Amino acid sequence: MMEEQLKNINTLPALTWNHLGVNRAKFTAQRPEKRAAVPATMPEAFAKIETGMGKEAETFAEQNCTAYHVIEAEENQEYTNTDSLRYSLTGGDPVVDVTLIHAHAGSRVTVLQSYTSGDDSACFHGGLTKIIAEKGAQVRLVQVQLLNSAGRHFDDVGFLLDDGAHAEIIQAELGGQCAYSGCLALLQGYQSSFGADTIYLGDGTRKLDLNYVARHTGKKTASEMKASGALFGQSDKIYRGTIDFICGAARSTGHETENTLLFSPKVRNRTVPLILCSEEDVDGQHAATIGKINQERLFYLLSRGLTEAEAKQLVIEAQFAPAIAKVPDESLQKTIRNYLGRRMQLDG
Amino acid sequence: MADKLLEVSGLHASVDGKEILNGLNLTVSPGETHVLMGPNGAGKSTLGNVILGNPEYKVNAGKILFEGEDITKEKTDARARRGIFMSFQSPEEVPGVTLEDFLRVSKRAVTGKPLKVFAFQKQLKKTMESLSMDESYARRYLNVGFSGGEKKKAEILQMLILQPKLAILDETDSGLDVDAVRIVSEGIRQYKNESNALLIITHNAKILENLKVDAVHVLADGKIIRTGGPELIDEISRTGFRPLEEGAAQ
Repeated sequence: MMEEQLKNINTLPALTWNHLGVNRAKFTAQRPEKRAAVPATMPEAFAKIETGMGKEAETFAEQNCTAYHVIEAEENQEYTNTDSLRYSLTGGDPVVDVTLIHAHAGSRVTVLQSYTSGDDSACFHGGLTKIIAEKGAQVRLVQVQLLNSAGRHFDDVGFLLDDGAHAEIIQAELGGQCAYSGCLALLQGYQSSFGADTIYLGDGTRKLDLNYVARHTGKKTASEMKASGALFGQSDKIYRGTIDFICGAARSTGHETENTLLFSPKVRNRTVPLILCSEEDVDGQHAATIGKINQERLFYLLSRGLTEAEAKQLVIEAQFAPAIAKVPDESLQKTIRNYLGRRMQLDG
Repeated sequence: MADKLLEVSGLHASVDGKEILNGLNLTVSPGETHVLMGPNGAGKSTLGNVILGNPEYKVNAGKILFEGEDITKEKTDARARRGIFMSFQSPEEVPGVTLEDFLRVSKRAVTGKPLKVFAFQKQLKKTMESLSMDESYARRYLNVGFSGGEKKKAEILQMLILQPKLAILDETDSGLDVDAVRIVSEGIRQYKNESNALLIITHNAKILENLKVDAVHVLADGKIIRTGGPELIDEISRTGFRPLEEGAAQ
């Protein structure tokens, strides 16, 4: 199996002390033997869109693509795809999917991408998704990753938003040995808005590396990024959340929150909230809540007959519920809950 | 049916290294209602927490038997599944979990059986009506934004749905207005039958008006200093705890 080292991904937009180990990440990607027939160059409109993981991950996905999809939602039309972008992965058969979504003016688009393991083998997934949301378009991108604990996964996303467009990404990073993802939204249109709702689960020795950037260049733009996670075992997580107000993005707002529950003293949890302002007339806020499950709440739940694993699952599901409710398929919602239940049984 | 439901003997328990219960003995049989009274800090709530196995409290000596079996070292959830319930003085808020979902999960946990959905919903609706609880509370997150009175009613609702063998009510009447005390008291009366038992921790005789009380215990300095019948409540109302404490000290 051919491997490729990605040495400079999920880079923090403003670097900090190197010894903190959060400035960038490295990732070992697997090259597939068979590749899909794709255009030699990406359509120009998409080529200029930056992504959260950065150029190296983007180039790898383009050059090693095994599944290529272009989705066009016509002007003022509704488009929903919740079926065809589901991937069941097996070892020795890496999947690298490239998906380009063009939401024309006034269209409403919902796309679901999901990644599961077909067996217990060590599988690989790399993904690149780029989205153009034209004037007044509304886009919801839902990505669900439930790979087995040997799987390796990266997911690179970039949004470009025009006037009045709204886009949101719901990401469930719940499985894999390594789960790396990045998302960058460029809010260049007047009154465009972006939301990110991320849930993550770390267990065993899983490594999670997440990088979200909302870059505001248009006036009166708004971003809201929420991350919620639970860490067990010896898992190791970095969450970078950057709100970048570029000069000219007057009267824009950006909020980011992270809520992390720690279930083991051996987890490593790093959070890097970053607000960059080269424009003065903006409102940027961040908040993070990191801690153990409240023992009094746990006792209350146990006192009603729930086992510790069931009580923890209930608390985590409650924390994840708003994001899970946005998954546009009830059976997949159920699959996620069952998956969480199995993980709790193992770690509870 | 075991002739004794709960037997606590020689119980010593501490929290943060401080001994709160100091050789406590208590026996409750099926069908009985026991009232536990005592000054603040006597250890009343500690007893409830220790019977339910709160890990914050350490049992240093003594035994707790339930239906003849030693549960002193058993985990809280196992005790709950045996049929021990406590109505909390300050019930926890659980954002993201609705009252109805919590009741459903709890009912399944304590019975160990799958729920019959329609029968459960019917029972829930009827029980909420009897407690003058608006149906919308079932869809609200557990105790989040509930008033003090609604939280206590939600505790009694849980007791009525879960039907435990022993219900410990820890100052369920505190902070309630007269009407709410009456409703909660009626809920307790509905629950009570010949095969279950109540241990009511209270400062207030009002909640006991509809109930046949079998024994009243006065707790001071971590042990029971006097046990009597319902007439002891009147005596305490007239004279307070001090004469009883002084009598025990002599």
